[in-house]
Amino acid sequence: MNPPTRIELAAAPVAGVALFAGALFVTAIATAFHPALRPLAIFAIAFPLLWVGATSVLSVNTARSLRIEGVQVPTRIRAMGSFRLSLTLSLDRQLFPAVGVMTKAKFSIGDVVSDVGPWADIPNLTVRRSATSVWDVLIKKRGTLFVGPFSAVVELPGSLVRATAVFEEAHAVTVLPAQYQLHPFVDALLSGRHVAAGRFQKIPVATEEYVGAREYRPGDNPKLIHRVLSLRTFDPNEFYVREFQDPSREDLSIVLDTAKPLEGDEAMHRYRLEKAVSFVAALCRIFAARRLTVRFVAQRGLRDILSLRLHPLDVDLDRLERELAHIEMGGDRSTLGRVLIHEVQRFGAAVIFVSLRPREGLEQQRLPIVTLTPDHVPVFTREVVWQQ
Amino acid sequence: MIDWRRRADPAFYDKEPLVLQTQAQVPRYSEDEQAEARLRVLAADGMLHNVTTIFAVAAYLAVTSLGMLDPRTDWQTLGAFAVLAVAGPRALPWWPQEGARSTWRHALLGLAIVVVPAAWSRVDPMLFGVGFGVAVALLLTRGEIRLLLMAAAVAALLARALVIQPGVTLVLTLAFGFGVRMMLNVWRTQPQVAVPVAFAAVLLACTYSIALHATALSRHLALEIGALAIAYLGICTMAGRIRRAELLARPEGVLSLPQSVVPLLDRSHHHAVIVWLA
Repeated sequence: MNPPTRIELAAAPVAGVALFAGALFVTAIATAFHPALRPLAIFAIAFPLLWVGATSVLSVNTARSLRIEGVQVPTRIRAMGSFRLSLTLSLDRQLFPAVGVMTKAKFSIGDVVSDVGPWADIPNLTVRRSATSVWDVLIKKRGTLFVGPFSAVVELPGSLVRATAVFEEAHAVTVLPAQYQLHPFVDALLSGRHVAAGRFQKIPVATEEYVGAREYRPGDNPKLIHRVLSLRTFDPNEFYVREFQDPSREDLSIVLDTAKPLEGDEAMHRYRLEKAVSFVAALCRIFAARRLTVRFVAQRGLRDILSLRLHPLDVDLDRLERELAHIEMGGDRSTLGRVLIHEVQRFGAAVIFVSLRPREGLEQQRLPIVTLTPDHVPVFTREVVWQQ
Repeated sequence: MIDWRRRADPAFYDKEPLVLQTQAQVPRYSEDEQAEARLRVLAADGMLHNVTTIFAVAAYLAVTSLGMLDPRTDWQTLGAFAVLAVAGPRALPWWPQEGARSTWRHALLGLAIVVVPAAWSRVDPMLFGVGFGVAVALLLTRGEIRLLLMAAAVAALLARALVIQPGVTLVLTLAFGFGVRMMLNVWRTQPQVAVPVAFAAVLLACTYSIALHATALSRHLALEIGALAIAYLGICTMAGRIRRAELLARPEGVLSLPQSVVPLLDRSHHHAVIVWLA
């Protein structure tokens, strides 16, 4: 149970306090000339004074006695997703219950800070009992979201001060890229590329293993045609080929463009980066589901190249998404060109380049890679329509 | 590939430029809107209105010595306090809108609070005269004219006091004007300010009576203290109801601030963090 880090006091409007004090003073002066009315005057002065004093002191003491029992917040969430935040408060060492406690939390991610609520209320918090405030949070920006510090306000009716108990604790939530729904055109990305254009080697080597059969695509080596399966088909023009795979080697390289395009404005660039990041995450998951090993490459900053080897394992994909959660537009064109050439020269891997530029560059056209421009990456399929 | 995309979704290429241009307006819960919501809660609170009426009547009884003031000599005080006790609460910003027929109720209430408390001690035609005068004044005035009537009541009280005790009256006048002005400035954002102002109003009214009608007040001190206690409890209850309205009228829907342009994957709005009560 964590006590408040500090208590912030906000006084009622000075004019109200001054008027109240002035009225008390005038009443006291007027009574001095009429001793017979002293009981009436004492009551008239004492009642409001005691009431205001008692509620003010009680507000401050109640705020001091508040304790945080627990905060429930997930460690990771996907952008565009929502989570439930709950704050459990208890009251310690206090004779009277806390009435009308209002709580709020601060949310900050990057340069975006939200510290205005909404306020959740706890109508009545009795001594040594706990009560929970619950919020729903929808987060749309990737990165690390900090939830906290938390504030609890106590202001009893009639109190001249508003006491705020501030609990300086923050919980980090990693906001992963948004969940992306891929269209079926992703299948076409690999059509013939795996064995043909993006792959220089045409026949399997000794270290490769037979992984299955699939339909023949233009560019496949005829020596790999699976005769038995092909003969079983009804269509005489339909063939199947055997697929081989070296477990120790990547099948695919995915290069994410993080260099700022020359055309367009800042908002458009950032929007396209968001789309590309979410798209890449979904693409890697699709390939992992097909038991393909993927090498992901992106430039994080100056001389900072992120290179991840992703086996079809959840742990690798989680690591990728954690990295993607923090990736920004920190690349440059020259480094990107070198990275692409390096990936193409790697032995046997097909290269998919997710570009931020609207058209494929000349240098990329010369390379045996698949370039996906923002036009290829569809808009996000889920639209949040806000309830007015 | 591009051809395939074009065939599958011909409208696709027209979508993206619109994504950044289209944004829905998310309702923002500004201070003004919150004040309006709070006002609606207060206007719908029947208990608050009843308590306010009880407070005003009890305060009237306390400062007029439960009808012991002589209607022949103190008719201005009786009439002015009666007008303020009936019209004052109804001039509060959160008092619900009333129809034309409500002036009848106000007139009857004005007549009752003048006549009934005094009737047990004396039956004086002048008392009924004051009562009917108050009733007619309340019956014939509404809206801004009612405010003028209240101002006239205050002026009547001050005029009499100025003759007798100019110094105290000047201080009371300044304090009263200061209080009204302060209340008008901050009541929308801080409705709890009504509590010290109400306490101050009762105290100033008591001071007025103590200064000008000490003899009448000294006859039934216990009853006056009882009436004053009821008035104070009414203020405490009003404070509780105002606090309740503050809790009820807080932003219950979305509250997403600050509004910052962040890269978005939908076209609904540009808020990075949106929080609402579960």
